Amino acid sequence: MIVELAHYALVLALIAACVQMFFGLNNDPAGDVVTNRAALALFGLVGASFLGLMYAHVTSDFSVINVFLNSHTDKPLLYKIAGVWGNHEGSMLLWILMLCVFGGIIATAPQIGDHLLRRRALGMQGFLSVGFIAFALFTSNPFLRSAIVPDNGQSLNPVLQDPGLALHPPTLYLGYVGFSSVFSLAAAALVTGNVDAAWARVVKPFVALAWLTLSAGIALGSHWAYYELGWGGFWYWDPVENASLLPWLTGTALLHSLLVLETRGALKRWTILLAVITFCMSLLGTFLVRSGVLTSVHAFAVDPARGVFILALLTIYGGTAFGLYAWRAPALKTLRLFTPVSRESSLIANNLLLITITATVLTGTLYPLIIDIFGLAQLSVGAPYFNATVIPVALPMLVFMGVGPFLPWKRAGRWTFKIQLLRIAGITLLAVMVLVFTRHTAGIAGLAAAIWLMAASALQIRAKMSLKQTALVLGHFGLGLAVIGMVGASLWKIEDIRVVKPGDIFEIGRYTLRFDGVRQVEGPNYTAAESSIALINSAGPYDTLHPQRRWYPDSEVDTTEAAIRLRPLNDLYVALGTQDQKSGPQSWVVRTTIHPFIAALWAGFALIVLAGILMLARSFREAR
Amino acid sequence: MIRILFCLLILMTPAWAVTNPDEKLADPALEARAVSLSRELRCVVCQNESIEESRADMAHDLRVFVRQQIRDGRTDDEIRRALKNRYGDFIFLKPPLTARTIVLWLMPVIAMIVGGLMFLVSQHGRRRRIRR
Amino acid sequence: MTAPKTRLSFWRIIPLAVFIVLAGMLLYRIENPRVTGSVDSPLIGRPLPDIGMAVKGPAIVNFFASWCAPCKVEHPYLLIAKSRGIKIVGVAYKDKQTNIAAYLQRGGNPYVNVIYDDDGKKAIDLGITGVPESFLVDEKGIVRRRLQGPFASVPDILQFAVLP
Repeated sequence: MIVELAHYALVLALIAACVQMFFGLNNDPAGDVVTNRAALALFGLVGASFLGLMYAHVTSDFSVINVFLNSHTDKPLLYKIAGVWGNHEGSMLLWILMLCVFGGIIATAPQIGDHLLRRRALGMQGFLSVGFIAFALFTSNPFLRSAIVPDNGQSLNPVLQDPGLALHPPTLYLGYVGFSSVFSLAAAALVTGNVDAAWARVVKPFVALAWLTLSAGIALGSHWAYYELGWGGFWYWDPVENASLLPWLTGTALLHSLLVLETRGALKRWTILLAVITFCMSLLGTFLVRSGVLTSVHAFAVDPARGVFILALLTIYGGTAFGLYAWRAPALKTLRLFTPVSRESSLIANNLLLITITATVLTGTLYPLIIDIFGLAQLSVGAPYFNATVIPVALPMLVFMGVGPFLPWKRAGRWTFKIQLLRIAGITLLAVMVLVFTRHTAGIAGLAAAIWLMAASALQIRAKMSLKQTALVLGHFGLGLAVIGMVGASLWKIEDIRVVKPGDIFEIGRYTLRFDGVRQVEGPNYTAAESSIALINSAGPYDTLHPQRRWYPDSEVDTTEAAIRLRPLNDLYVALGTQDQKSGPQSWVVRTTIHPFIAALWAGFALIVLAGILMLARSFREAR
Repeated sequence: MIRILFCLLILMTPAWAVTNPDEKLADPALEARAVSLSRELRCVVCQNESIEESRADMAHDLRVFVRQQIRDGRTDDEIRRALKNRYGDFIFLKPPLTARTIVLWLMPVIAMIVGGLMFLVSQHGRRRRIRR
Repeated sequence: MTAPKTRLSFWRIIPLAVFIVLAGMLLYRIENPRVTGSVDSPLIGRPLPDIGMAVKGPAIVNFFASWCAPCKVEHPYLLIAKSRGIKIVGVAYKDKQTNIAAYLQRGGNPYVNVIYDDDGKKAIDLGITGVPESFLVDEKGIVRRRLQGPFASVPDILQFAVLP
């Protein structure tokens, strides 16, 4: 019954979205009120629908096909809930829910003074909702029932049964879909013709929220890959990872471009274009993941019909927005000239470099597809390509990021900024010398750039700082810290793989480990071989790690659960392999890795997200 | 679809993930070469993983192949050519630099030049308009 | 509100144009998909590498295994092809002789010869990405075609065997 109600709620939601779109875009005098109410109703209806699906999962209602395919009575409650969005149909419903959340926010945001802007933006948001709800109802309906009720479900892929991964989609979608609100506000601004500092202030909280949640979502995904996949890697340049990175890159450019718009009233057309592009990147990513054109470890079940539908949505929405831009952008021209050495120019340089990286990642991801369409070649483009092309652009960008905040608006004064430069250079040089003397030269360029950025950000600290300045310092410092983590974890890592039997002692880095054998343990829906690895020093054992290999009988999959001991300077990452019968009974393969400075990566990500939160807070304050 | 099923079949056999200890070459310098070379080679049955990271059986076989070739004294380029003769350019995660991939490899430069030019042209246009 | 015409308004169209081209390409790819994961073989046009036995074409070289599910699906088609006079050489990929013997006895033997590839080295020499996989070799010993995956039907294998 509940499931049917949820289904009907979704159908009603489609109607509400149509109303919102229709009245948002017309000139009916009652339109303002109708659109707002429609947006709130839409949010309520989709929310109810989503809760209905969740109810079906939590109560293990296997007559619902979606629950049957993705759930099981033995699954822990948290993963029954997470299973709602661990599949194509459910995650699509989550996507739509986020669209409606942001529609609701646009409808109620107090800082939008211009009623027409709000109305047109809601109209656009309604337009987006219509398309996606139709997509869900007609091609990806999670509420379909089957006549035969199976005893139990097929369960969720064990790799997805994990707290980090449970949280990853909602966070990521808040960001991914959050940019839809910026897109709608930009389209609305093109229609009303008003793009100015006031518009920038209206849009800022939306950009801040979408950006910070997207950053958090990507960081969660990276952290999950690190501890779950067994190799301690945090980024693979997988097409789906790239799909989430692209809107982040253009979103960051947008964030910085907005600064110029709100302070100097310049870069109007460019900011609007970025707003449109960022959401189009989200749409492109959604298409790539769900259409099967680029199969990936991540991709959901492939269905060409769905792919065509999403492509149609992408084309309609992108085409509309870019068309609006082509038609209305000329009206927004400003006569602003930029002096070469100024805050504005440094922000423009930042944008240029970010867009270069975006173009590179986009090209690399789509190239195999495109070159194959023309029948020219069959190529793979993987991590070696991206590392070789992105890093040389990213490092100078870090350097510029260090200098930029010292430059005043309009024109730089001669003295202060050069003294600061000398100080930063001095610190960086000192650090580089230390690295060279201690023979740690791997990745020295990256480390130098990161230290430069961190020193520059630290030198910005004052006794009294505004929220905006604090956000800047934290964000930039965090990025530098993250880069240190990236360099340490990839270029300085120490690996060891060996066959051990109980009692064997071995060394890696500064640690001495002793293998104490394996025993069988039971989990809620798995059995595991759990090993015991003791860390010992002269005084005896001081810690133990328990890496496992798990077997999930429901899904017939085995996974490896590494044991990670995280400390500020490095981690100790131990993974259990298979038994090695040839070397004797009780012999197992054990793989140990040390990732220096990986804590800096997670700390850096956290600081970046914190910076986003501060910016959100600031933009709320400003808007009053 | 069958391909994907097959790949999943492989992933489900409890083959150990990356390099069994007995896969490794005795000489650490040679082993380092093998690892570095393997990172550039695509696991042909799974998407976007290198043979160094992949758990697939085929990846294991390719790792063994690479190490055997190194033991036989082949240079990195000879090994790459041998793999290209068998699998084509598809097996390289780092696409070769040819006439067909020049846009790919030069994209960062192209993007920066195009972006920079667009900015300069717009500034120039404004300067002229202001003078008028 | 009227938008003033400027000489540079043509630049405004560029984002739209790029976008439409990209969407077009993606649409093309969706409508004309590659059979998942299929890749052209660099062996085509070159002599068949050494697999332990000379293959006198025209013949199909078919990699298979008793543990491979899709191989069982295409097995009947191989038998029919054999009955129509098509020569098929089988390469048993990572399998035991006893298992192969039992498999061929149960399902029938479409092969004129069975070669064993216990460690998968021959497979790598031919650029195999899985089983089943088949090659068409002509009378001069040159590889003419390659199929990744099983034959989908009888007409498929009959067409495959016709020399281009």
